[in-house]
Amino acid sequence: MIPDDLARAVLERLLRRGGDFAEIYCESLRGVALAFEDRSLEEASAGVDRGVGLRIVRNGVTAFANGNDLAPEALLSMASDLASTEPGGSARAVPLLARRPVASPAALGIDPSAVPTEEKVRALVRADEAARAHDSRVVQVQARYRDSERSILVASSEGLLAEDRLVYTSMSVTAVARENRLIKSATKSASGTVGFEILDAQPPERLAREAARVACLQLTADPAPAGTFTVVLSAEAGGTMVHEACGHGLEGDFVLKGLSVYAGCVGRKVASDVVTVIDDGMLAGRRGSFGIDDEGTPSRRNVLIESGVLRGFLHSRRTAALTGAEPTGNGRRESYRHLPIPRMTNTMIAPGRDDPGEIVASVPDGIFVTDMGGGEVDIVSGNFVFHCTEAYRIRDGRIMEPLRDAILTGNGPDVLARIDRVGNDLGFQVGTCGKDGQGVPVSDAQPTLRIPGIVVGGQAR
Amino acid sequence: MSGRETAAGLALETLGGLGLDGEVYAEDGVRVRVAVSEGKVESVEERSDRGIGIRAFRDGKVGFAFTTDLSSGAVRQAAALAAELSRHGGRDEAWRLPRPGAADPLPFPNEDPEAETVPISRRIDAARAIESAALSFDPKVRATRRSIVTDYRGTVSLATSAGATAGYGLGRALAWVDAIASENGSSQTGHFVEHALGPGGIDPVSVGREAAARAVGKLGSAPARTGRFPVVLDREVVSGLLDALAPAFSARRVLKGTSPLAGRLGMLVASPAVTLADDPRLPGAYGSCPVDGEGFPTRRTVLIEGGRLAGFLHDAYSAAKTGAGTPGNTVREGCASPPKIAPMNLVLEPGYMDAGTLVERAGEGLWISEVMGLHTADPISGDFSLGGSGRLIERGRLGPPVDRLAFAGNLLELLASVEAVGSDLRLFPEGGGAPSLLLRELSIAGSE
Repeated sequence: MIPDDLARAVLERLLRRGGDFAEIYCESLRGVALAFEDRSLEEASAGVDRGVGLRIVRNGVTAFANGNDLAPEALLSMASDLASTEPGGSARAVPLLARRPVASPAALGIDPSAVPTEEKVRALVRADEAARAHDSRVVQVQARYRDSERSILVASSEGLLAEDRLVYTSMSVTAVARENRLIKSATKSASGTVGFEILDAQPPERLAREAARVACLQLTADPAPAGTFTVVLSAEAGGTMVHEACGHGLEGDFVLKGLSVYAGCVGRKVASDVVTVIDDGMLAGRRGSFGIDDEGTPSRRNVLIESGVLRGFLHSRRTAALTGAEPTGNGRRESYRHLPIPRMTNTMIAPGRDDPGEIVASVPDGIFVTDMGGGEVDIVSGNFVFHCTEAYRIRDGRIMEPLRDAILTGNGPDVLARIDRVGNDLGFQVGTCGKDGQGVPVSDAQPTLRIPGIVVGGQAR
Repeated sequence: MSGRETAAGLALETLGGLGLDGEVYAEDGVRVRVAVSEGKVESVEERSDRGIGIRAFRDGKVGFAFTTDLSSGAVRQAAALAAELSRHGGRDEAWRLPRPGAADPLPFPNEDPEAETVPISRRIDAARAIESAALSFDPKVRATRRSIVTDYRGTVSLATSAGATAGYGLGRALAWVDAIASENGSSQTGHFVEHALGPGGIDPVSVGREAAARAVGKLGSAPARTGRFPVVLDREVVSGLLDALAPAFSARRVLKGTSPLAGRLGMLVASPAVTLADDPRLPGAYGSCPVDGEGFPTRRTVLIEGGRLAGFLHDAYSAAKTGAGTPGNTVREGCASPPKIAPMNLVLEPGYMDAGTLVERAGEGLWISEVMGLHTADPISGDFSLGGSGRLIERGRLGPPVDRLAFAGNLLELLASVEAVGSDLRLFPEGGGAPSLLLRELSIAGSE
């Protein structure tokens, strides 16, 4: 995106009045978004967002600026302006930049930019028709398709220069079902750092039928009961629970100053013996994967909790330095307009040994969750919630009537300590994680889990 | 500045050359953000946000493209892309180039002219003052996550191939802090955010003290009891719930049957105590602006009056499609997406009882001051399920704090169960504002 020698000149300009660290983050994002609703292509949009973010760290203070003009004179003048924001010291030289080879976990088959728009629209039409054909109670369908290509370049005063390119392809289908005055909706999504072939692996018809099935199920489902229950989270429900209950609390910025409930707990027992938590940015084709993070650190597999014992945290360059750890490849940013902060990638509870069917059969009275929606956590208290978009009552070890509008709430360390059965399966869910006003693509995964004593919020007496 | 106007002109010229009508939205602004932690500056950011969003109209079809690269080559490419995408749009005669009339300017300032001259050091001082006010509020406050002072100043403009133009400048400042209080080995956080037209309009001490008071007030929280209780919802919670309901007022959603309010105009959809309006010309409110995202003049739109559904929010398409609405209710979420129907300042009209009286009326129940998981509420059905925290209400007064409570319901059913509306209206930075509400009864889950 910018030549090596220009990058070096910009870095030297950034450090012309001293500083401990300087960095260039250059990004180009090209994307297409199609929204099909009411049997018509309602929105067809596309665009290019291209820009650069510059930062200087001086005595622990970060100065940051961004712009859209990548012309050499514009970059140099931006760097000069940023360097003069603080009364500084003497200029520092920047070593010759060495290109760092990047091992990419992206699994691009068919480049979506080579697929004609007509074909993308066809996929939406197929989803619309399949959802409506599934059940006559489906009265409306929203089908969305999106692909994007994100190229980044990171160059730093430490001599680093690395580039990465990721292609994301996503599709989601929302089915709306109605019976008399009652309306319910359900959404199913597919997304990854993959190409158009994702629609072969997860055909639009399948997403559509699943969305239609769940929306119709909600029409007749009983309101979830309110109270404390043994909950079985199915592997197919994905990993929202692990993301909220412990993932955020292990992010390095929350650990600084002891804000997180997990701060100061490395080497200590923070979960039951059967719980191992991993964040892995190198999983092929997953939505949270990348070759380098947005600071140029290679992505890797980080074991966070091993058999219940806390092993480490997720770090950006800054939080690693402040806590005496090494960067873990989790410094991410929404775009060139933002500073990087520690974020999750693909976060999971590792599979265990139990048979998922036996886990369900072991519960005399409880709740079986097969799809989780979004969630939220207060990292200081550790209290979290997550929403169940598909759930059933378990009676005498058998999956019985469907439940609607269930929300589960608990305290992170408390719930991790309660997990007593871990299945030998694993299921993923995709999402966009929001933190400090920045959204980044992630995936979460877990095996089937049994958790006694979770508070379930519902409407029934 | 001139570059941006040229970009709009160039995009319209490119579309004109293809025989298409066009609309160009342009924004250009600067955001400054300072973060302070433990009295030290953590970061100073100066962000520039600019770009254009182009809609191409082709014989009942529409396409959209954007670019943040405003070089003439990139602008021409974006215009050509919008034109190309318009071929694929679903044909509907209601898709026509918006033709807004002239709008009156806002009769009050929408930016702080002094913001430009406020030096970075003043913003840093304010952030430091926020943090120290939080830390000195109570010895139990042991830290803050960081205090932030951020402000934006920018201009927005719209131009169409029919010659219509609109534009305005706006300025907004925000300041917030997360205070952490600890006692007996357990910690709680308190968050408070304030807004103003410019950084000078924010009182840092009150921001810090309020966040600290919230954190300290939550210390010693016990799990709630399961049961059905009268509930007082704090105004901040009410504001969040109303934002979750806002999409239901979109006339586009009503047309498609994806609003729980479809077909209910004139009917009782909430308690008679509820009157709700979108008021884009409300002095001091965060979302105030003279024109909407399509350039139409803004005006107050009553949505619920005395519990009855009184109106919907429209864009040019829905107004043309229904033949019954007035456009002017769209917002832009930056240059990268087309205009979207949404309220600018959704305001629930305050009543006459102060919050203390609502608590007194509740007798035995719960005061809910924070909720979690609002983003999972479903705007199609109105269903929600949330976690929350607050205080018990015992003999008409606020009692000990409770957390880890969960509740589920439907936003319209919740509005129908309103017994009384408080007088404590506050404006929030999400746009608009709300007072506290007393609800007849809510089913709450906690551990026994």
